[in-house]
Amino acid sequence: MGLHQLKPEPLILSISLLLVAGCGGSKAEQARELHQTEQSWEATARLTAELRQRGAVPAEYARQTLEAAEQELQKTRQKAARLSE
Amino acid sequence: MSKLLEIALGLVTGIGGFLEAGSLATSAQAGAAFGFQLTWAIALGVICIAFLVEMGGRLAAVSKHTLPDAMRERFGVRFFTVPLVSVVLVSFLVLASEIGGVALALQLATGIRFQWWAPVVALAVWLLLWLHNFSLVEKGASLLGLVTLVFVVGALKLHTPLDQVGASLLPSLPQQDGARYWFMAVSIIGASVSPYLFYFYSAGAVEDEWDESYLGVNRIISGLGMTFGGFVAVAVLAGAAMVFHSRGIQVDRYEQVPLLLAEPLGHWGFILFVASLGIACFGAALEIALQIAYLVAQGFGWKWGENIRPREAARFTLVYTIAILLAGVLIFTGIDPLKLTIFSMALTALSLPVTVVPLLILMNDPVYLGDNVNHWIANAAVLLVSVLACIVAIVAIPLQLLGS
Repeated sequence: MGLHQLKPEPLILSISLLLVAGCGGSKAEQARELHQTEQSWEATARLTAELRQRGAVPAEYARQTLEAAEQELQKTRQKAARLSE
Repeated sequence: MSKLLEIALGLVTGIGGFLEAGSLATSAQAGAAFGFQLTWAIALGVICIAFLVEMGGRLAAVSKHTLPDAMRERFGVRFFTVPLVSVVLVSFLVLASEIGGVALALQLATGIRFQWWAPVVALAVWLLLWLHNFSLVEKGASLLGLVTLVFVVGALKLHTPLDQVGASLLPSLPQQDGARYWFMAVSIIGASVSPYLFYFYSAGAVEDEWDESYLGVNRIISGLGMTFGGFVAVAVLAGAAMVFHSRGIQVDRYEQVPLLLAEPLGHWGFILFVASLGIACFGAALEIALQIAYLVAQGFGWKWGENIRPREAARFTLVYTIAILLAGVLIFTGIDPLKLTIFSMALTALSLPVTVVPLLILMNDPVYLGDNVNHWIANAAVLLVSVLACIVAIVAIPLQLLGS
C-alpha cells in the first residue's frame, strides 16, 4: 500500500506543541476570553434587536434570545469579577 | 430503476442529507470564531467521507456484504465488538444531538422549550421507522433536505468573498486560541466523517440489491454527492464568518444561529433556517436510528431490514426503539444540544481509527473485493485523515474541557 512511506510524527509533534503553547490557562488569557464572550453577547443582543426592528425575526424569538444574552452577560460579568478578586 | 435516476437520487441524497446538527453547528461555530480559516477542515472531511462512502458501496456491490456483516465474518465476533461498541456509542450521542436539533427548531418556531419537544420528536422518528420503508425514509428525508441549499443563497446574498474562501482551502495556523482552533477542526472532521454515513450507505446498497454494474454509479454518487453536500457546509461557515465573525459574535448557543440567515434574507431567512434545522436533523435522526439497528443486527447476524415488517425483524426493531427512547430521554433532561453536538463530533473524530482501520483491511482483501480492492491513494488519504484527526482530538478534547 505504500503506507510505510508516510511519516506523520513530525507533524503530530508540531500540532501537540502548538496546542500546548496555545492553550494558555493564565489569568490574563482567561480575562481576555471573558471580555470576548461579553462583547460577543452584547453584539448578539444588538443584532437581534436590529433584526427585530426590521421584522426579520419573530417577537418571541427576539425575546428569548435577548433573555439568553442577558443571562450569559450576567454569568460572564460574575466570572470576570471573581477573576479580578 | 434506471442508473441515471439512481445517480440523480444519490446526488439529491448527498446534498440534502449532508447537513445535519453536527455539520451545521460545527461550521457555524468555526465561521463565527475563525472566519473562513477552517474551510480546509470541511474539505478534508469531505474528501475522507467521499472515499469511505465509495468503499462502503463498493463492498456491498461486489461482496453483497454490509460492513458489519463482513467485519464480523473477517475478524470474528470478539474483535468486531470493539468497532461495534465504539460506533454505537458515538452514533447514540449523535442521534441525541439530532433529536435535540429538531426539538430546538420547534422551540424557535413555537417558543416552547426544546426539552418538551424531545418526547414528541422521538415518537415521530420511531413512528416513521415503524410504519414506512427504507426508500421513503432515505429519499423523502433527502428531498426535503434540499431546503438546506438556502445557506448557499444566504452566503451569496452576503457577498461572500469567494477568493478568500478558496484561499482557506489550504490549512493555516491560528494566531490565537490554538486549543479552540484544533478542537473546532477535529469537530468539523468528525461531523463530516460520521461513521453512520458510510454504514448507512452500505446497508442501503445491499437493500437496493446493488451488483458490480453499480460501481460507476457508486463512484459518481459518493464523489459528487459528498462534494456538493460539502459546499452547503462551506456556505454555513461562510455565512457565519460574514454575519458573526465580522461583529465579534461567538456561537455559544443554538439560539444565535438563525441570525445567520435572518440577516441576509429577512423573515424568510428565519423561517427557512428553522425548516432547514428541523428537516436536516429529522432526516439524520431517522438514518442514525436505523444505522444503529443495522449495525447491531448485522453484527450479530439477526434478521434485519427496513423493508420488512417490524414483527418479522423484532430484535432489529427493538434496537432502534431503545436507541430512540434513550436519546429522547437524554434531550428531555435539558442537556445543552449545542455542547452535546460539538462534543459528539469531536468524539467521532477520536473514534475514527477504530472504525476506519478494520474497514481498510477489509477493502484490501481480495476474498471480498476480488479485483476491486482499494487503490493505495484511497488507503493513504483515509488513514492519514483518520489518524491525524484522532491524534489532534486526543490533545484538543482535554484542553477544550479544561478551558471551558
